[in-house]
Amino acid sequence: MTKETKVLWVVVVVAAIALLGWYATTQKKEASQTPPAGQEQSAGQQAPIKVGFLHPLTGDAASYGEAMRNTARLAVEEINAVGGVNGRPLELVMEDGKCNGKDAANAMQKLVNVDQVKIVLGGFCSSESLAAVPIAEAGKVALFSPGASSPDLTGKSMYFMRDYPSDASQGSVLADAALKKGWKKIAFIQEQLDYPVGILKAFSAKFEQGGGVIVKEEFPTTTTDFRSALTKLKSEKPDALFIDSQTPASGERVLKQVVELKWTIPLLITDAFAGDAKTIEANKDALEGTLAAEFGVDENNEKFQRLVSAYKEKYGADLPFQSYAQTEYDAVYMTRDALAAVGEDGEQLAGWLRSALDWQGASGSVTIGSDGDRVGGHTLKVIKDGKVTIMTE
Amino acid sequence: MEYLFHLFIIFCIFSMLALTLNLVVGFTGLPSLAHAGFFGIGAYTTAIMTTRFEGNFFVSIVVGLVITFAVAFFLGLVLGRFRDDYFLLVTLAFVFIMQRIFLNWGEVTRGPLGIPGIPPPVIFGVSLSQPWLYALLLAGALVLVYGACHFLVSSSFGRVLKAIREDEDALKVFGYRTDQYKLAVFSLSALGAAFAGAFYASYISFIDPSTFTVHDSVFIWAIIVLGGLARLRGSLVGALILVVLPEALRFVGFSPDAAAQMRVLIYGALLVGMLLYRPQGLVGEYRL
Repeated sequence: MTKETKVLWVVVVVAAIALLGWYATTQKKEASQTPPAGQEQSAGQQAPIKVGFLHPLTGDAASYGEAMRNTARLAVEEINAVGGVNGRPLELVMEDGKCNGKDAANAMQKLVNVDQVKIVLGGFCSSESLAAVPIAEAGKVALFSPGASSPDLTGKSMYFMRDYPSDASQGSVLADAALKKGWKKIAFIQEQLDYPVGILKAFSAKFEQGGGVIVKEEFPTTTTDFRSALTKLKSEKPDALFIDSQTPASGERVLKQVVELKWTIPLLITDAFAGDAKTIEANKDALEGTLAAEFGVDENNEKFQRLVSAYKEKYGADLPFQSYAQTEYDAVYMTRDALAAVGEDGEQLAGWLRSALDWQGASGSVTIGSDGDRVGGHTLKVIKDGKVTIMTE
Repeated sequence: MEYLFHLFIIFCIFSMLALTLNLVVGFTGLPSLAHAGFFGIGAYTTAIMTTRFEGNFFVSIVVGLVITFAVAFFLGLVLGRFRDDYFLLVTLAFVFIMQRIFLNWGEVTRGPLGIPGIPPPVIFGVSLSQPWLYALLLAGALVLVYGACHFLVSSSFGRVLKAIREDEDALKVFGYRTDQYKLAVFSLSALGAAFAGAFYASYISFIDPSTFTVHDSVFIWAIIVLGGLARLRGSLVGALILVVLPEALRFVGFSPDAAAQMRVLIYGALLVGMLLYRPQGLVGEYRL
């Protein structure tokens, strides 16, 4: 074969794959077209309502994405088992946003313009959501995130809302608590990722307004030695230390070195850290009296209990990332209610969701404010004897 | 249809990156990983100017190009002292430095939060928020970059570049100041990356430091190696395949459970297969 024919051969193969793909989807579309008028159809056989699903399914954040996919699918199956929405089943169209802007934009374009969904659950990561919002607006599609927590998303678009609270709420709850304690100077050791930065921003806005001072040291995720940063912070003689970490692992590393330095100081930690019961239990001495603001789960909530047991039954595993799983689960059910109330119209779906008031779900009572954010959310907690408990004064 | 326009836009952006990287890697034989860094400078300049100072998109491109040229020129001066593996390592260090700057210079780049809400360009009062208008603009930009690259490599300047790749010492004997040629092509190629970056930022509307890592440099490398080094057409073919193939795989009817993983797997297997079968790339004339 000459060079040119080989090249041609490759191009033909690629084109064939692409065409096959198009063919497969169009076939499915035709098969699922609405039946001609006047023809009786039983529930479950009618054309499904497509719901987009934009989460990280591969890459570093895939552990979240997969758990969320399982949770969303569980909710969809439950809904379809009892007749779906007005007799039409829901169908999730899953796309991988890889937790970054470019891939999320690719996936969102496909969901909006090829699958023509009217509502998308996601993006799970803030970066996915931020890149998907303009596409949602252009296509008049509702974008409903169960996980993005960046304060930049607050009031971003009429088409965007979330049932997971903004990081801003966590920061301000803790700042209030710190001011109440009479702390004047707080040292921050902050991981350089969007979530810890969001918390710091919200915290400092509130805390500095109340007359407090913040000193901070930042560290990239790859850092494992915090001694110099901690020593520097210690010399500032702060009233408390905020371990502002993205993950329990990095938070624990900082904590261990605080202990090694024999630095006894009141601590504040993020909900990502406080949410990991194992790590908290393992470090209970060092963490005694530590403050955290958690968007926690309410284990007495009947709907939450049902979610946990249904998940266990279906997948044979404990419900992972519970605080996200509960909002994911609720997002699917809220989508069902929205579809039942206003039908398949992106603008109206967004409008319905943005006016949700005391909607009862696995994550408790969901109210979404006019800025698209979940109202309330974080509550002040304190660690006592290795357990995260609600703060009672 | 909007989806196809979208893919076309992404294809154009990565074609511009690949074409200009090909000048350095393919034609001149300099193993540079710095491209993502310049891509980032262009993107961040446009993002900052249009969101914070309400600057015009096209003015921001020019400013981005000036900044990039200055940075690339100084980096090029330093790189003149290195060859081969060491050259590669210095450019690798540059990408890490840029990454750290994007991440740590919070007052300007907003650090890990990234910059959201970058507006689309406005021409004569018309905002290019329509995908087809934007695709048209990108097509124009791609033609411009392709034309410039074609002009460069078919000129006598381009022949010197190829000669540097084949035998730099011999060329020096003939009295060519090869370091000046290398500096020139390195700086020019950086301009192309910054140009693409400006379009990327205004199109995706959100950028953060994670978009401009060494992985992205490697992705652009993959495009030019797959398409073929030292062939401009190769860069276009490579970009077409690497941008469209993962998207085409979204349409293959895998079971939803494994679809995302299968796509990545098949994508990887196809790349490995193609390189086994054609190590010089699809239409390449030179092999590293």
